[in-house]
Amino acid sequence: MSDAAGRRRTALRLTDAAPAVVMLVLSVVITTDTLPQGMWQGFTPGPAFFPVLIAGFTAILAAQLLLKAWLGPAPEATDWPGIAVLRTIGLVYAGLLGFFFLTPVLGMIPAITLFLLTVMIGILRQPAVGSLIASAVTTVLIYVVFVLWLGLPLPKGFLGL
Amino acid sequence: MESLDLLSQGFAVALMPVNLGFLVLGVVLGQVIGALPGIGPAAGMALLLPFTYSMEPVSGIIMLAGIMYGGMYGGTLTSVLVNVPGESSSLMTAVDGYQMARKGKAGAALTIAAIGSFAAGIAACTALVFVAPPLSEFALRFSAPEYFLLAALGISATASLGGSSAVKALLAAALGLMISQIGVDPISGIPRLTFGEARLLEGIDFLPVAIGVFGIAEVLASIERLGDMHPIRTKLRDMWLTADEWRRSRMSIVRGGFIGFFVGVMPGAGPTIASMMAYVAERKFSPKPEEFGKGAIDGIAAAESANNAASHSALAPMLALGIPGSSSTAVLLAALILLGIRPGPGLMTEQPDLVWGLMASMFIGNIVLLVINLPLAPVFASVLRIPYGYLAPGILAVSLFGAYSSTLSMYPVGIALLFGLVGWLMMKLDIPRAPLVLALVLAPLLESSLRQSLLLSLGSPMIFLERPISAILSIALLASLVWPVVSVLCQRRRRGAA
Repeated sequence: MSDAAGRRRTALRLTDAAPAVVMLVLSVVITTDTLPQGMWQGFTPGPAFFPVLIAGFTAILAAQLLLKAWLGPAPEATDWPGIAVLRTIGLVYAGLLGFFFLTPVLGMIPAITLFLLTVMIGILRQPAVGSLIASAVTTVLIYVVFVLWLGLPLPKGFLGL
Repeated sequence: MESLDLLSQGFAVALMPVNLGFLVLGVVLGQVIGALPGIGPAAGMALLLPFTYSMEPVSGIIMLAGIMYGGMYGGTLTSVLVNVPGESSSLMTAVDGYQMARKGKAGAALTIAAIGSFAAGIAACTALVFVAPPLSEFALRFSAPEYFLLAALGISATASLGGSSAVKALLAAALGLMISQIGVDPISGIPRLTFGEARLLEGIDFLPVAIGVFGIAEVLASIERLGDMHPIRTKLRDMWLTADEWRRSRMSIVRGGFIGFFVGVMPGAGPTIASMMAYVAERKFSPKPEEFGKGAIDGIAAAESANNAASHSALAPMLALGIPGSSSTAVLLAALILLGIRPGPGLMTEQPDLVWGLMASMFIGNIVLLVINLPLAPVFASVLRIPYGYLAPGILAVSLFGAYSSTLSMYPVGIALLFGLVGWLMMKLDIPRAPLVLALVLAPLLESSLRQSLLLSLGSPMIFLERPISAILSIALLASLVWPVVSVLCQRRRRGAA
C-alpha cells in the first residue's frame, strides 16, 4: 500500500474513531459529576442512577466503535467537502455567531438584516440587487410574523430598533 | 362503529373555518418545505412550532401535522426535477424520478407520485381510525415497566432500523439521553450536570436542539451543493399519464401503501425506511425490473405511496401510546407537551376533539394536496428556481428567531447554533440525527418509568419480566439491540462464502 493510501486510511479511521472518543470522554464526565449524588437511596434509584446507566451504555458502544474503527475493515470515504466549500460553510457559521454576539448591541432586527446581507452578498456572492430585495423581504416577513403576529418582544440595541 | 361516530365529530372540528384555514396553511407550507432541499418536514415543524403558542391546541396540531404529510408530497418535486431529495423519504423517488424527467416524463413522475401519495394516505388514515382506538385501550393496561420498555424499544428500534451503522445510531441516541440529564433530577430536585451554571438548571429544551440539528445543520450541508441545482422545467400538459403508465403503477400503489402502513406503525421505522423497503419489494414484482434506476414509474409509485402511508401510520403509536414513530411525530409529541397536553393512552379519551379532529383533518389535507399537486405542481416547482443563495440565509434567519421565541432569550439561540454544528458534523460522519431527537423527547418518560418500576419492585429488575406484556416487550427490546450484530455476522458469513 502506498504512503498516501495508508495516510488516507488512517485519516478515515480517525474520523470513525473521533465520535467514539468524544462519547467516551462525555461518559467519564457524566459519571464523575453525578456519581457523588448517589446511585441508590434505600430501595430506590438515586439521582446518579440513570446518568451513570447511560454513561455505562455509552462507554460500551463507544468502545465497540473504537475497536471497529481500528481493527475492522477500513471505513468508506466520508463525504467531506473541499477546502473552498468548507471555508464558505465556516464563514456562514461565523456569520451566525456574529449575529448571536451583535444582537445585544445592535438589536435583533438590525443584526439579522446585517447577517442576511453579509451572507448573501459577501459570502455566497449573490447579485447585490437580488440580495437587497431578498434581505428586505425576509426581514419584513420576520417582523410581521414574530413581532406583529406573535407579539414577541425582541432585543433592542443602541439604535432602539 | 363508535370510531365512525367519533370520526364524524372529528370532521365537525376539522371543518371549522379556523381549523380548515390552518390545515390549508399547514399543507401548503409542508409542500414548500418538503420541496426545499436543506429543510425537511421535521425541521419545518420545529421552526414553526413557536407559532402554535398563540393558537388553540387543535389548530396548532392540525397545522403541524399538515406540514408533516405535506412534506411527503413536496419532497417529490426536488427529487424529480433536481435529483436532490427534498427530504430523506424521497431518496428512492430521486433515483428513478430524475431519470424520467431527463426523458421528458417529469410530469408523469410527479402525477403518479401525487396519486400514489393520495391513495395510500387516505387508506392509511382509514386504517388509523380503526387501529388507534383499540391500541389506545390496550395501552391503558400499561404501567411503569411497560412504558419504560416501550420508550426504550422506540429508541433502540430507531437506531437498529435506520442508517448504515446501528452502533453510531445508538450513540446518537445516547447523546440525546445525556443532554436530557442536564438540569435537575426530576424526583429529588438536585442539580445535575450544571457545572455551577445557573442557566443549565432549566435543562436543554427540545426545540433549539431540533432547530439546530435538523434546520441549521441541513442548511449548512446544502450550501455544499449551491451550484448544483438546475431544475428541469415541467408544464401542466405534461402531467397526464398514459394508460400503460397507469396500468404499471396501480398495484405498486397498493403494495407500497401496505408496506408503508405497517412499517410506519413500528416505532423508529418511519417514512424513509418504508419508502426504501417498498421500492426494493416492488422491484421483485415489477414486469420490468431492469428499468429500476433508469426511470421506473412503478418504483416511484411504490416509494411515494409507502412514504405517505408511513407518515400517517406513525401517528398510531404517538396518539395511542405517546411513543413517537418518527422524527416528525417526535416534534408533534413535543408540541403536545409544550401546548400543555399530556400524551399517552389517555389522550384519546381526555382530548377526543384534538385526536379525532386531527384524524379527520388528514383526510381533508390529502384531498387538498392532491388538488394542488396535480394542476399546480409546476407552480410549486417554480420555488426551486429561487437561487438557494437567497433561500439558505432566509431559512437560517427563521431558525434563529424560532429558537429565540421558545424562551424569549438568546440562550436557546446559542443552543441551536451549537447543535447546528453538532448536526452538521453528524451528517459528515454518517451518524443519524433522528435517534438523538427521539431520545431527547423520550428521556423523561424513560427515566421516570424506570425509577418508578424499580421503586415498585424494591430494586428488583424482574419486574420487567413478570407480566406477559412486559416480557414480550423485553424480548422485543433485546431483539432490536441484538439484530444489528446478527445482521453484520450474517453479512460477513455471506461475504466469506462468496
